[in-house]
Amino acid sequence: MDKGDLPGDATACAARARSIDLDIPAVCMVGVLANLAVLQTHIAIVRAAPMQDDDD
Amino acid sequence: MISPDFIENDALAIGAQIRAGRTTARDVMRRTFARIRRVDAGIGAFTRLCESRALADAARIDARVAAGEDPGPLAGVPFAVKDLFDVAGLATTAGAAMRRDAPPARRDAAAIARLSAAGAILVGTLNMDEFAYGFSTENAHYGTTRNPHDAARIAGGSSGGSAAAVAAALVPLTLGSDTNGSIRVPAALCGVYGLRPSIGAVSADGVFPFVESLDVAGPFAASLDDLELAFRILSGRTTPPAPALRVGRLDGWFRRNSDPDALAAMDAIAEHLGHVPLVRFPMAEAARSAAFLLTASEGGRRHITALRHTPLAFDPATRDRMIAGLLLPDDVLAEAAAIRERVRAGAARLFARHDVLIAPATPCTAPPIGGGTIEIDGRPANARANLGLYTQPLSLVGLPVLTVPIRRPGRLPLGLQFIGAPGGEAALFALARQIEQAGIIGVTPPQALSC
Repeated sequence: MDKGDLPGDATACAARARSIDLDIPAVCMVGVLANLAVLQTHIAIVRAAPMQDDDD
Repeated sequence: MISPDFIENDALAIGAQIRAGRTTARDVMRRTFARIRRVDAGIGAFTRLCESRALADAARIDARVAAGEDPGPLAGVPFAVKDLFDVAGLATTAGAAMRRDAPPARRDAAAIARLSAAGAILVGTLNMDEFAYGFSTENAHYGTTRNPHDAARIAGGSSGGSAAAVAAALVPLTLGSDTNGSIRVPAALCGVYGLRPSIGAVSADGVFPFVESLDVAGPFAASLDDLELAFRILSGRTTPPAPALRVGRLDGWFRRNSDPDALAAMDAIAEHLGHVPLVRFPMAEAARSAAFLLTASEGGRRHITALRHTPLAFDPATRDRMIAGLLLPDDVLAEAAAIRERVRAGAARLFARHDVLIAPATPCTAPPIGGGTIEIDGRPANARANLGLYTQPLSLVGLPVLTVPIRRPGRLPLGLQFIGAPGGEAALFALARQIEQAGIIGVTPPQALSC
């Protein structure tokens, strides 16, 4: 995986997973998408970090 | 009324009694297994017992004492380990059903071997979140470990069995592991002492990995003396008396969203010590997020083969997090790694001015099993998902942390983190002794359990 945002829906999620030879079972998709949403919030915080003072 | 199977939850005292011939290791084992069988049915800390091995080890300890030898400071002391430490002859499950039939370990993990060489006796393995990925020890395969202070609440995780076993006085000493808070969170929620040592201080040989750059093995105990002795034995390091300590309280991220009682305990420490300035930990929020991202990615990569071939064999909560982590772009991970280096540099500057920093361990007391909501930044949030709020920024850069229970009889446990520079465990123990003597911290036995 090189660059880009996280997939935001089931179709994009399945396609991204197939690119690393991973098939996401249908029963897992809701949980995976929920976790991707959590990760997206952490990505936003990390990307905002250069705006922060190093000593918080 | 003290039941006949109760053993004082004090490793040093048990060892001293056995070495002096006032009791035998076999009798301690008999009472230990009786108590585990009676009490653990309501807690679920243990996953397997090693009774025949323990009784054989006890017979050897008793024979050595009878022959006038000294088996070591932990002679005949029962201990147990999180189910990711190799135990000779047993499959190392790491809390996963798919590893139930893994080939048995050929030898004990190095940490177990060290405690055994000091006379301690392994009595069993302890419950955990699957592959150490979680803060609750609600394991879909091996069950939920309940909090000894309130069986309707979680014990914390991922080393939940290790904390609960000590809190319930099933054994005086256990081992766990900490990647993002997996020693500190359950120690705080169960009201016992737990040490996340410096990276590399305790051998990881024979410990099933999760995120190798963050993983550390460490002990839980019901007293500072026991914890410090266990650390010395595990690490081979001494903890000499520390000179006058420069102590600070973490402000900003670490006070936002905290339980007021944790802040009150920190204020009481400041009042006791006289001068404990409020200081900022570098980039705390970004550090927590970087730890979150690196963990999801590395955890997923470690298990990618099983995720490809047997995804339904995982605990659903673990699997879905790991799959999401596998979908993280590389540039995000590079940014997270860069944050880690900036935080490391900032922490080094902070520890040039301080020996110990104090922070809450968790934002709340133990949430109810299966749920619970707390307020984060003014909004309701899942309590379990936020239990690592204050632990994750610290382990990202490998700092040693001693988790101590705030003394608050009659209420659910809350803990504080005493944080040191790498290699600074002696200062942590020195401060904890001082604060324990002041009556601000200390273990309170669960009222819910009859002794």
